[in-house]
Amino acid sequence: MSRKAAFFRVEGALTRPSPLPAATFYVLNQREVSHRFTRLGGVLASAGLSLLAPLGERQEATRLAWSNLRGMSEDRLAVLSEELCERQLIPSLRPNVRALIEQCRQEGFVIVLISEQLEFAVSPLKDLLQADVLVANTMETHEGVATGRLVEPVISQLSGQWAKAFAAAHDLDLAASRAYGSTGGDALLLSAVGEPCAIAPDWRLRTIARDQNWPTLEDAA
Amino acid sequence: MSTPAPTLALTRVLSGAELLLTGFPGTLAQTVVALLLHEVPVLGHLHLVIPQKGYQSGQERFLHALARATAFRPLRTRFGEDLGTFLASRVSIHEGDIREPLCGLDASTREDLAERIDVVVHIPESTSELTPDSRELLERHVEGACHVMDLAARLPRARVLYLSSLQVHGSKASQTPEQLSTVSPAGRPFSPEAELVFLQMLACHEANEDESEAEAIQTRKQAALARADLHGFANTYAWGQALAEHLVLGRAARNPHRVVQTTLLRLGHLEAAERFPFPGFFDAYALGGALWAASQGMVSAVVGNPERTLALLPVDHAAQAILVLSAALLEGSAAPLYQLGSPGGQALSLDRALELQNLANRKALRQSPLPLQRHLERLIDLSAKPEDEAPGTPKRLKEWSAKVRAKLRNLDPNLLFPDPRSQQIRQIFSGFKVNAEWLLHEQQAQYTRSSHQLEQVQSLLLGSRFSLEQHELQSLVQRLDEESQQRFAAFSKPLNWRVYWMDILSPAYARLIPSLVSTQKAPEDPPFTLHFGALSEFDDEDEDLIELHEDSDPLSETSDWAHSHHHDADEACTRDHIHGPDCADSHDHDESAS
Repeated sequence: MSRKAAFFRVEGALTRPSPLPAATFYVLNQREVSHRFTRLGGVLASAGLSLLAPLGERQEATRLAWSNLRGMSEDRLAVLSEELCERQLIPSLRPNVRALIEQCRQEGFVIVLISEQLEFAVSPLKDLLQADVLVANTMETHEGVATGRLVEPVISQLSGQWAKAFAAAHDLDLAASRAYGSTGGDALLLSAVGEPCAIAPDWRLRTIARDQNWPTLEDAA
Repeated sequence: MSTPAPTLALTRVLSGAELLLTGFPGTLAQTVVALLLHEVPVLGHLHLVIPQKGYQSGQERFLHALARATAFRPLRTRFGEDLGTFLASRVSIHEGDIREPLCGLDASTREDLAERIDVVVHIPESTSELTPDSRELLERHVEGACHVMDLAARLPRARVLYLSSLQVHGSKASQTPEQLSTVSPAGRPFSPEAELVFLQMLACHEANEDESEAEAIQTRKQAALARADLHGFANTYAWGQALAEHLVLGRAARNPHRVVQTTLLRLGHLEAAERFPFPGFFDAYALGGALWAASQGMVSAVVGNPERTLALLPVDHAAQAILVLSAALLEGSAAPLYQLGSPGGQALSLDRALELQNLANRKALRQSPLPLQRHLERLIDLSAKPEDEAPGTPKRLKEWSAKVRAKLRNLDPNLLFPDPRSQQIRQIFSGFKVNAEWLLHEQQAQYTRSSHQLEQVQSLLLGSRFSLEQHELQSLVQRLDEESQQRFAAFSKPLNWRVYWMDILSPAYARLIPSLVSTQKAPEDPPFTLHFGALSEFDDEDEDLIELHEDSDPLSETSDWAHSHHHDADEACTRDHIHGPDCADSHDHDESAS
């Protein structure tokens, strides 16, 4: 018998969205001072590309942003991720998301966190929220050094096909599942489940939610 | 079809065994003693050869370490007031010095030990620098090793575990084979006899009319360093260790008394303990300490090869390996040579070590209440540069701060602001000048210390990348039973360097180095009162031992070593004119001292 899942998008739905791409923090803390400035340009360019790119084609922008981490040691990635989680992600958790997750768990949902961040950074959040599954990006490394390439599948904008494949792999019933998102990019994921919900949505998702008659939760969740 | 080797159960093999250890109170020897007493209660007896130092007898040095040294903290916690009684029946202190023939032990002590000692573990004294004076090298490391072998030959049952260093492979080796080579790392024939004569000749060199004592020491150091360099060793310590290895094995095989079964264990650079006696235990300024010191302040570069392999080894891992090899020697199954560079054979590169130090500093700064300091220090990360003239090294920064300080000193506020109405500005400027000068003075002192510490280990940072070979030890670990593997074989498993460096090593140096800088010694625990029960070996028997030493006539104790090699040295000195008549005096002095 298939289980039902509650998908939570970390950026936006669980934490308040950051105006800068996730890779910015890493780039600004590179070992070489010169890299901090030159690579920051690359990250900002990818952020611009992401805004201009049509829905469904933002993966390239995500790839481009993270590619600026090439040459960074795995040790630094781990330490910066720990710091990022401690200093930025956990303090920016929306109020009452823990209660919402707890409610879903009690209703028998498998808790799935989806994040564009590196797995290193969101792992402590998974433990903190006692989530069951974490889907996040993984940086490819070679001999302890980041190559700048993300391991497939790249977690950026998730499509309905991704949701179907994930459900099949984890024996989940999408029709009985829930999904929580907050940006227009999450619309494809939300539309793939039976119980979509927008949390403090941006203008694009707000419009879609209104059209589709999806429930919307404001900042207090 | 080969029969599988029998299982080695450490506690069973060591049960009732008696071990003799040298090197106490060095960090490794303290760890071995604490580990044996804490983890192997079935051990028969432990004999420690400890030299007198100043007015402190060997026994007093041991008791002081027992009461104050952090290595014995778990023992003090476990036994409390009963520690003295427990140790009185387990440990004997023999005052002796490895620099003397037969380690300075008198005939009755040797007779007493003859029927008891199963394994002699020779832990060379830790050296404060890698280019020691050739006299110290000869006496402590080369002759000392031979004296221990002579003593072991007179103990009928004793087998020897001799500790050496992986540095014997030289600074440019890409492989570290587990064998004794007759060729030096530079590919030249390495004759221990010739090297010994050369070292003895160097040791004979005295200050002459044109030279002060300090200059004579420098001359000896430079000559030894040139010899080490000729053979491809990174420093004179490595050259001395390579020489000692050959001499030890030679004496083991050709001793007139008996053939002594001997095993060599080459170790990497010792660093803070991973677990025992507690995470971060260490009491010396090692390679990691030099990198820690360099990373404090605005230093952005150290001179070194980023690819250089650093074979760092937590001291408790080394102590465990010593226990395992002692058991293998007792069982009679030890190979002639083992190597242990880093846990699980996975060493760090210099670049990674520096990166971990940067990240450890970053983590420590997270707690800093000063945001400005946090942000400023994060701006600068340390990296290795192969060029000696690289900017940002402590040496360059020291020169730079001296120059700026000199320029600042020459600035006269009255000349800069001559207008009589600018008195307030002059006062502000004077205050700024005083503060800036003080700050630069402090920075200069810090850079001087960092620079000095880095110079001590410079030879280790400039070598090449190499692969660690420690297959013999890994094979031996496979033979250990499950319990022994879990308790005594941490060295066979890869270490999580990130966790070790950031949570153990760097915080340990942050506690240790300020204490070493200010008080010249490692922090000690509060005094602990030791009570000895009825079995008061420390009160009675050892006092007898000390009296015996005082009454005995060491000149009558002539070792095989003294016979064979002093003759060689005499010949060497007569061949070399630089020593002149001082050489003979020096030998007379040596003999009378022994």
